[in-house]
Amino acid sequence: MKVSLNWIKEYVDVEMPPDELSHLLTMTGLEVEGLEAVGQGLDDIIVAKIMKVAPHPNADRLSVCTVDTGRERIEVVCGATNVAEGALAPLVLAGGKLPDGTRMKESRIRGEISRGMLLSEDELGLTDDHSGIMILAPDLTPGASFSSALSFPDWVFDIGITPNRPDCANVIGIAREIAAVTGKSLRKPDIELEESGPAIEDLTSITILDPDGCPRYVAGIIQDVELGSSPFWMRYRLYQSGIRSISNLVDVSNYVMLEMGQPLHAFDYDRLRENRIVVRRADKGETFTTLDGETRRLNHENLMICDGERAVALAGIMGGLNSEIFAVTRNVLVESAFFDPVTIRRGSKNLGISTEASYRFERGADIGGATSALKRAVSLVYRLAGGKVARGIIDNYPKTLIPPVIHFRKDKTNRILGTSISKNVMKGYFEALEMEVHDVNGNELKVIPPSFRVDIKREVDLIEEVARLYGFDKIPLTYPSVRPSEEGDAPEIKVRDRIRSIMIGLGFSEIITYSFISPDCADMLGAEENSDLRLFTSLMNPLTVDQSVLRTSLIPGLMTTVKTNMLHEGRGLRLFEWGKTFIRKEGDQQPIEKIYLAAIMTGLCQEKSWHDDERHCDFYDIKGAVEGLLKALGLVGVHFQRENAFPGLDPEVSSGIYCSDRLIGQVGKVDSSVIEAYDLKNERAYLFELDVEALLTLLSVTREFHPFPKFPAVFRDMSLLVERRIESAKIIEIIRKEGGELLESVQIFDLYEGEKIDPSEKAIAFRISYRSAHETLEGEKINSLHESIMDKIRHETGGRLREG
Amino acid sequence: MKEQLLELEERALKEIAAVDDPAELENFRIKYLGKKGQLTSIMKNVGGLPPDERPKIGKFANLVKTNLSKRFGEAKDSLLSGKVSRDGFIDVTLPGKEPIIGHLHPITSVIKEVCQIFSRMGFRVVKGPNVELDYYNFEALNIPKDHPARDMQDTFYISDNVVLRTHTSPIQVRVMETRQPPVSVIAPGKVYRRDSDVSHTPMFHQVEGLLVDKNVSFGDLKGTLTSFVHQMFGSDTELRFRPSFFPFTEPSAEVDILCVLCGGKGCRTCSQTGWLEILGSGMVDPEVYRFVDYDADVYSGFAFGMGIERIAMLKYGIDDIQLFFKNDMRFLRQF
Repeated sequence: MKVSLNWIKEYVDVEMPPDELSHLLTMTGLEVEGLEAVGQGLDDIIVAKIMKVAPHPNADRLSVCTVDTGRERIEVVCGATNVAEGALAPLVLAGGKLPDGTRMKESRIRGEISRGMLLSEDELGLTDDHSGIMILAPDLTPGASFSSALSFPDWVFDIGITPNRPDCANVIGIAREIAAVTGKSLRKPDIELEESGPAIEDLTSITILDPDGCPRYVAGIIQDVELGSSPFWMRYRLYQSGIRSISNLVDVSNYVMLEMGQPLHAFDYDRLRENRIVVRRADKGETFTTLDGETRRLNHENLMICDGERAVALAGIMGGLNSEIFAVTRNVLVESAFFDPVTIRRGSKNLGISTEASYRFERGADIGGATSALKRAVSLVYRLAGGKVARGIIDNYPKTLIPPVIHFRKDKTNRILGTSISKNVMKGYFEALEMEVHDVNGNELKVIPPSFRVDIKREVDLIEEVARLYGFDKIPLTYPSVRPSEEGDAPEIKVRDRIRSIMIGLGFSEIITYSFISPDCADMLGAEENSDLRLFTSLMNPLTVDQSVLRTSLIPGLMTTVKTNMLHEGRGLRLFEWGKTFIRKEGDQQPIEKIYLAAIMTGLCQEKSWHDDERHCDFYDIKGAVEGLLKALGLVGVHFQRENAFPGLDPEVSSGIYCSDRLIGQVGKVDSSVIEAYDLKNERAYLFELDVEALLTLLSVTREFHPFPKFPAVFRDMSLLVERRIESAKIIEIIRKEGGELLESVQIFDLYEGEKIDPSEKAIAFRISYRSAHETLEGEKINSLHESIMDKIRHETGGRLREG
Repeated sequence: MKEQLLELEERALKEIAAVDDPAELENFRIKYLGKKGQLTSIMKNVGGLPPDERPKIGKFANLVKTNLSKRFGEAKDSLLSGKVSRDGFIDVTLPGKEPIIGHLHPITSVIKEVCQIFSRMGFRVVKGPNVELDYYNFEALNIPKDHPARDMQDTFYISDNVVLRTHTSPIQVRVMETRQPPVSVIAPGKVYRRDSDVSHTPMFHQVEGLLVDKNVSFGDLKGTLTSFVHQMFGSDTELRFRPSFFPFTEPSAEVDILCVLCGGKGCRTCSQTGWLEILGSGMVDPEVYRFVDYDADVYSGFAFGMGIERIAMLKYGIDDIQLFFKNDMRFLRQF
């Protein structure tokens, strides 16, 4: 809420400079989000009296005014039509400066010399009114400083009001907080009413058909008003608070809302059929045209203000076109009501209208303040628009507020806050906030909050008030004694940082992509109709289609990121993401959230340098990365098995990653159709994906030390020719099985396919290490074992020793 | 024949030690290791030996060959790489053979740092679901349906009853629901709000903290968070606790630090206020205890939450939040 300091000062004395007040408000819980000076640079502006207005001899639209500057009479040329003899107006003399910094010069306008300029509010930087010159109050003295006569400069505070403090969404509310913190007293506006009209009961009646929606409705009537524009002081304050001036009658209701927090509505009394008010729920399908000209379709959630025949306003949200104040309005009915916050909120949400009134009602207006706000409004209407005020007001209050009586404990408060504030000091805080306080005993108080403090219902709400007024900054720093938990971090946390470090070491950079993707992604990966990748969780209100479902795979994010980087990172990319996928589960409200690690590699894995040639990455680079990662994590029993059912991967170049016969991930080449779908030209990309939860269950928490072997190992090489589709893992399996406990390790040290051998074959060479835990192995024993392995291979694969 | 081999090996080793250009090296290869080289021709004669000598000599010949091949390889490497020349000069200013090292996402680094600070203070790291029930995200945090506090966050809905969590606070409820005090946890994670513009992304990260025990006070909250701020931003960082409102804490406090850019004078980053909001916090509201069945007269505690992107932006001087999720290598490489 924006509010001018001069306005605040009407209700409380403020002696500190604006920035200090800003700090004080912020530290009380009214965060000042902006502070702006208004009415600066007015030093050269004086009050001048217009003595004579004569037409300009050479221009129809201009006049030549003789003005009294307090010291002399001078002539100025003026284009405004509201110049009137006897009026006071702001003037800048030739040589003086305007607020925007321009220096006024004596000038000749169409042959007439002008020695100064009469100014509009807009030119003074006070409001946006440039319809004419500003007319000042008649009690000012010509020659007086304009700035001091109108208490400029002023400051506008932009205050963030938290949802729990609707009582501070008005000037008096803010002034009350200042008064409570500074110990000053709050001055509420005087309300004088001269009720010279007929008794209000003879003019109207209020019927409330929905007391839950409208627990209180207060109305007053002023007859024979004169519609006009509001005086400067009111327009200025409204303008600075961001509200447009419309007419004196409408402005009064906005002004009182800003001043006291009570939203009001002014009806044209004569347009109310049967001159009465009925409050009821809307019928389903009923339509209503609000004063912004929009026709709205209503339902039973909407609360309506009606006359004897039809709806005339959307209660607490917006008035209707059919009962609006307009040019010929003579008689006005002013409404000051309290509407149920939830009803207003639902109504405003349903219709998508949020207004200053609905904002206040849905947070909670002051049910106890409805009459004083009405009287304030009526008195202002009378002051600005004249007329006769009807005798009395109608106060229909079917659901009287029963204020909470709160049991408050000093000791508990000090314990929660970590303070030692005395009971009397606390009591003083409550009283400063206009609460009713009764002593119960040395520790306890009974506190009844005022009706405008809708946020105070419980003891803890009072504890907060104590903390605020005592000052958060004065509460001493202490440290909790945390009892250590026997549990550690969440399981995935334990490996997360380790996995990330290993990936970084393997040259992969971490990315974080949005959890929501486009539903097209499943098609782009070529997922089957019954694939889990299609079990999307959809957002009801996505921002865009591209972010309308939760990801079922990390691959789309990787692909998109490769695409993003293609233009400037053509040389090669290694990326990984650690994150959740979301698979919809029938019959469950929430999808299954699973953590995956996914990594992608594309382009060069070795740039051309002084020591090496450039090299493009291939399947074995990505496979090596995942093998290295799993080895570093201490996972044993990892094996790979050709598989072609992974969406997005080339069926020829993809493998399942298994550990102890459990599928924990996949690795392979990104299928060319996917490359094309993501518009990656002819790029080749390789990726792996690991199911982190599966990984977690397989990782042993402890590692066991094995003593070094006591006896030497014996190495034997074996160079084979085998049919090229025989997988190396199969041969190694035979070697291991046949080698038994003497077999320590097998390594593939050479692989050849090409011209020198039969095209249906490959040459593959193994280095086998044999070792016994009990003895130094004899050459002969090894030779025969080595040979029997060879026999087995020959028998099972048709392989044979490669000669030479 | 063995003597022959020994002699050849000795001669060859001497020669190769003196080789210092690639052409000479190639001559060496042809002379000894080539198909018509000296070693090869000796080895061809192995077949003519008596059968009982053959394996022994064969093996020995192989050893010599392996040795020479190895030396040849080494000599080739050092020649080609220019690493060593005869006079021992090497160009130490040539770039080393640097392995590729990846980069950690800055959000991860900040989350890690935050969690480490709280871990040292005895907090345990926990997690919760991203797709959350309305009950945990709102209801049990004292944000009933039709409450204006729901306007504080624009929510993505999965169904009327299920949302993408708008904050990490539902984890508080989930933790308290499953254990009795003492509880001290820290919960990092992704959160989602239906907001996308220059200064908002629809997904971002928060870290939530909760400590509940007997006799935990607002002073403890101030102490803990002051210690955090000093560890995170430097021990001379000025901070303030400012009253605010969150439905699930009371009293509630925003924690501001003196603007790191202007030092409190007021600049664009701090919207001229001189202060930067970095944490929301407060004493857990008794209403929340009611939902998780804690006795508010026995236990008290505090909760806090912070936006990681905001901290990362301050820490690294990043001025565009969108950069975090574009994953441009030119950005990532800087961390």
